[in-house]
Amino acid sequence: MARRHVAEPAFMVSIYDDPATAGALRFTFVPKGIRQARVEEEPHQPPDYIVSVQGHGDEATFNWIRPPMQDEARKSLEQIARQRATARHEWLEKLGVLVANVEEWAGELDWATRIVTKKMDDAEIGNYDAPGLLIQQETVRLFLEPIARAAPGTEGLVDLYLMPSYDDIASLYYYNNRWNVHYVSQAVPAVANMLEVPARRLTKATLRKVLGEMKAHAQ
Amino acid sequence: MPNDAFNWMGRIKAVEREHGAIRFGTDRLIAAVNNDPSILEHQVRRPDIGTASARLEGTYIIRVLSEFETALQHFITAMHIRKPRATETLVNRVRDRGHIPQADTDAVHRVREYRNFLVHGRTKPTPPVTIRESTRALCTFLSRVQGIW
Repeated sequence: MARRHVAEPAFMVSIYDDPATAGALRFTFVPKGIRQARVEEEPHQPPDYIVSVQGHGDEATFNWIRPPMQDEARKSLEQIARQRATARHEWLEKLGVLVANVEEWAGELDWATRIVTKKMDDAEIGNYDAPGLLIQQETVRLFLEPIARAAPGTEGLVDLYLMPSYDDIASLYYYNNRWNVHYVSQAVPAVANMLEVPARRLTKATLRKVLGEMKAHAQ
Repeated sequence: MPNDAFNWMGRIKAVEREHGAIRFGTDRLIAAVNNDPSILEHQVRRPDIGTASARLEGTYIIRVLSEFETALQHFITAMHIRKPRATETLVNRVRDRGHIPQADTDAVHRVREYRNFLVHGRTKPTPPVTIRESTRALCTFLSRVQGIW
C-alpha cells in the first residue's frame, strides 16, 4: 500500500517520451553534487548518462545513448529505469482499467461519456498524458479526473467533480488491490480529508448510487 | 483532447487542492505547537504561524485569480482582442466575446474585488469569498468559452 520509493539518491533523473523511438522512454541521469561544481565551467553540458527504455518489468530493453563507463553503474541505472518504467506502466494501466469500467457502467446507466487526456507531472515517473472521463446526463456534467499516482495510504487517487463548478463529489483511492470510493451525500468542504469518509468498493452499483444522488443534488 | 478553457479550469482547481493540503498541514502544525511549544525551537515564531494560518485562504484566492487572469490573457490573444490593462476590463471583454451571462461575470468580479481588498488593503468594505466560492465562479466563467476556445 505504501508508496514505493526508489532508493537511489545519487542521481537526478528525468523521464520523457523518447523523441526518436515511438513508445520508448528516455531517461537522463545527472549525478547530484557534481553538476553544481561544473556550472561555471560548462554551463551547457548535456546530462551525464542517457538511456532509451522500451517496455517495462523483465521485458524492458535498454538502448544506451550515453552510457556510464563502468558496467556496475550501467546495471544500477538500468535497474532505476526499469523500476520507474514499470511504475509508470502499472499506473497508466490501473487508470485505463478504471476509466474503461466507469465508461462502460455509466453508459449502461444512460450517461453519455467522453474520454479526455490530462497532462500529468510526476517527479518519479516523468510527464505523461493520463486518461480522464467526462460524464453527462441532461444538464448534469461530471469529471473523473486523475490526480496522483501515489499518496500516503494509497496507490492512486482520482477525483470525481461536478462541472463546471468543480465541486467535490467523491474521491477514488486505490488500496487493497482495488478502487475504493470515498463519498458523502452533502457538499464536502475542500479541506476535508476524504480518506476519513467511509469507503465503498467501486462497482456499478456504487457508481449508480453516486451518480443518482449527484443528479438529484444538482437539479 | 480537451480545449484550452478546460485545461485552465483544471489548473485553477489544482490550486484549490494545494490550499486544502497546506490548510491540513497548517492545522496540524498549530495543534502540535499548542501541544508542545518547544518544537518550534528558534526557527519559527508562534505568532507568525497564526498569521500565516489566518491569511492562508486569502493567499490562495490571490493565486487562483492570478491563474484565471493568465487564462483570460491567453484567450484574448487567441481571439485577437486588444489587451486591456485592468482586470475588470479584461473580464468584461471576455464576457462580451463569449456571450457570458452577467450573473457569472458578477461572481467573478466579486472574487476580483475581494482579491483587490486583500492585495491593496482598500478601506471600502468588500464581502469576503471563500476559495471554494472563488474557484466555482472562475471555473464556471471559463466553462462558458469552452465552445470557442
